[in-house]
Amino acid sequence: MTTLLWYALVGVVLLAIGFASLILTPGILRKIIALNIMSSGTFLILVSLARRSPDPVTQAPDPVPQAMVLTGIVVSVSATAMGLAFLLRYYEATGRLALPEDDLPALDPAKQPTGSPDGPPATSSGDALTALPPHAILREEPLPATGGSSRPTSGEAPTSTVLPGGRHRP
Amino acid sequence: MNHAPVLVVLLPLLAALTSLLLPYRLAPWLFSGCLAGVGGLLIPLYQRLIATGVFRYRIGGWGWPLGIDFYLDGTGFIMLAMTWALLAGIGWYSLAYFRGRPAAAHFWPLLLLVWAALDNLFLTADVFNMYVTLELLGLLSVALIALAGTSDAFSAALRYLLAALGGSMCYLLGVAMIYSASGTLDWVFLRTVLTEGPRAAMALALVTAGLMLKSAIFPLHFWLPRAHANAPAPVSALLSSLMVKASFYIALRMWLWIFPGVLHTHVAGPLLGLLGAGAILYGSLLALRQDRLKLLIAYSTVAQLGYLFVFFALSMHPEDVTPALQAVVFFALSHAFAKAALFMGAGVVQRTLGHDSLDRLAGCAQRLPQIVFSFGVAGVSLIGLPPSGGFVGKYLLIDTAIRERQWFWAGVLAVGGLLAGAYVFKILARAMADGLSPTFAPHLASITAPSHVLPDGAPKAAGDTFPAPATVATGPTAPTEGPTTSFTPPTTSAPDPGISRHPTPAPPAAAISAAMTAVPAEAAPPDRGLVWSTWTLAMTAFLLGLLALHPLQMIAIGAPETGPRLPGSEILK
Repeated sequence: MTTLLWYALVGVVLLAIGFASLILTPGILRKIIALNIMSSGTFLILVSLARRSPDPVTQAPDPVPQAMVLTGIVVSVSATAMGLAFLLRYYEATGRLALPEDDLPALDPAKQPTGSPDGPPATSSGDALTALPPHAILREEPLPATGGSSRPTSGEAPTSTVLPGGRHRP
Repeated sequence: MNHAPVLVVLLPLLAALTSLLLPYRLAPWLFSGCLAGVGGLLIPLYQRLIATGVFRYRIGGWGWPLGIDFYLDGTGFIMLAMTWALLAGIGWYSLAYFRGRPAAAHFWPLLLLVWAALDNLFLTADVFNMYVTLELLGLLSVALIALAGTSDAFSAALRYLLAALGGSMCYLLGVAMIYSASGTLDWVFLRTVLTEGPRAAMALALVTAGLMLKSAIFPLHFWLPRAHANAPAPVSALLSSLMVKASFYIALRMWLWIFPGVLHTHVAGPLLGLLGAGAILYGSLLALRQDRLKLLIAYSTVAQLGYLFVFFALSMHPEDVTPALQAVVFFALSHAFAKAALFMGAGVVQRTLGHDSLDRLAGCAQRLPQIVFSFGVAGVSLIGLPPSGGFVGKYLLIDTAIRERQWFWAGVLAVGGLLAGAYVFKILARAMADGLSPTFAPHLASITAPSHVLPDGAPKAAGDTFPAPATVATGPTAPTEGPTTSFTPPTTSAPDPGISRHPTPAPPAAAISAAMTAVPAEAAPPDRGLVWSTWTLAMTAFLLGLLALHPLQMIAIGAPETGPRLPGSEILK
């Protein structure tokens, strides 16, 4: 019983850590990892629930929560993969690893990192998705600060992002 | 036809997988075939529902407690029919919208998968299966938003992905609590076996929090406007009309079917109602402040979702919950049609004008009369004027509030209608304003100010790094002179002040030819399919009120009773 309580408590703590990190950290990669920690916590709780209500005859753990955990792992893996793929594309398109924090993009279109919220997505629909060059995200040298027309020109990106390979200025 | 329930899910699923194997030009045909097939399957479901009431389908013959069952009642059927009708409209629109574009290769399989997931959600009797479909819908939405291909769409999609995953994690934890408190996951039986106590209360809190995040209820709406405004137009219509209803549907099942017999939900209901009221006021006020058409419509979705949650405050007291249930499901139905029409119209405007800035819609009514008409007609439904579907839904909600003597909620609903009127008329006033904006006389305006006719629309501030399109940028007049950057205000009645203010300074021939070649392509009239599909959905929302009687009767089939027993539980015996 105490072991089960321990599992459940660790699960809750993991959940809380993941949730706090999901909300508090700006980096998308950290948010994705936080979601994974959250799901690990949830799965631990589920597993401890399965032990808590064993089969009355054989004392085997309840299989239903375990099936739920398995399904949850599948979902979590695919969601993580998708999140990472999106992060890669987002980084290639904008050069940043955090979401723009302002909530009202249309009020100040000049602050947009690239292009056109009210441009015609129709004419370029899907083109940008396939036309992006297959850069590797783990390149060694940082992107040049002015390279590419789509880089953000405002100074907020370096403070809120954690670029791989270090975006350290010499 | 005994297997119609499972075929309704399997058909779109198989079509989606098949469309990935075939050349993508065949995908619309598969989609049309699915429309015919699922439409044909809905008829026996309907007949059976009318003849024998609610029923249960055992997938693979396994049955409860081992198998995952399907369960269909009136509410579920209305949702299925709504999905079918809206996908027919959106599919028609997408046919024209994605014609000849590479995004079509991704769009059609995703749309079919969304369809399968929605049908599964509205049919399943298992709350964990609901979690799986929620996750499916979330991931599919993210992929669909990203089809726009802009970096704004990427960031909106990422934000949505994170919010959706967090929300469904909450929901999953709530499901775990439900299971530990009851030992079953079947929502039809949960009401009878769920035991009262802190676990049930915790489960309800977690499930509700997760679903509120997924359906973007104020103050958890932060992801919605960006996601819905930056997606391609058919996707915006799909998200705003159907996706948000999916999580609302689960909340409805939880709050009406499962927990009232277990917990004192009438204590917590008004809290949800207050959040709904906040959503109505906040969403409407923010909608009024927007200067982009699609953002305005997206904030209107935030506001309209508020009505759905005000329902939870109204539904907890009465002896008979059926009238309130009829009201809210019908409201959700008509909102889906109206909002899809608005977003599809906004897509046509954006494609024709090259932007969706509200300040430069002047002349739209002459140019796109059917679209502005659709805005008006769908707006009537959003405001809640007769004979629209929105009128019937809102009238029934207010009627419930008055009968329960809950004047506060009646007042909130009325104020929400007024605010909806304000933002609908904001669109209409801009669109019907006299005078041609530079976009409509581009061959004249562009000579003095080529930056006005850039396809991306908004006049860019000096020093912006946005690359100008090649056709204009190569022209000698690309660096515009300062004063011309003030474009036509919408209220100006002069047909083309750009010319009158600046007597044409003998533009170079190259600029004229560049403007002439650049403009007619975007000034072409919109595709007929885009216009008429929008028009059809708007008219459906408008006339839905006249056809309300039968859907309302349908919704009453299988509505929860106040007692602990549920219709349908005797079928198991």
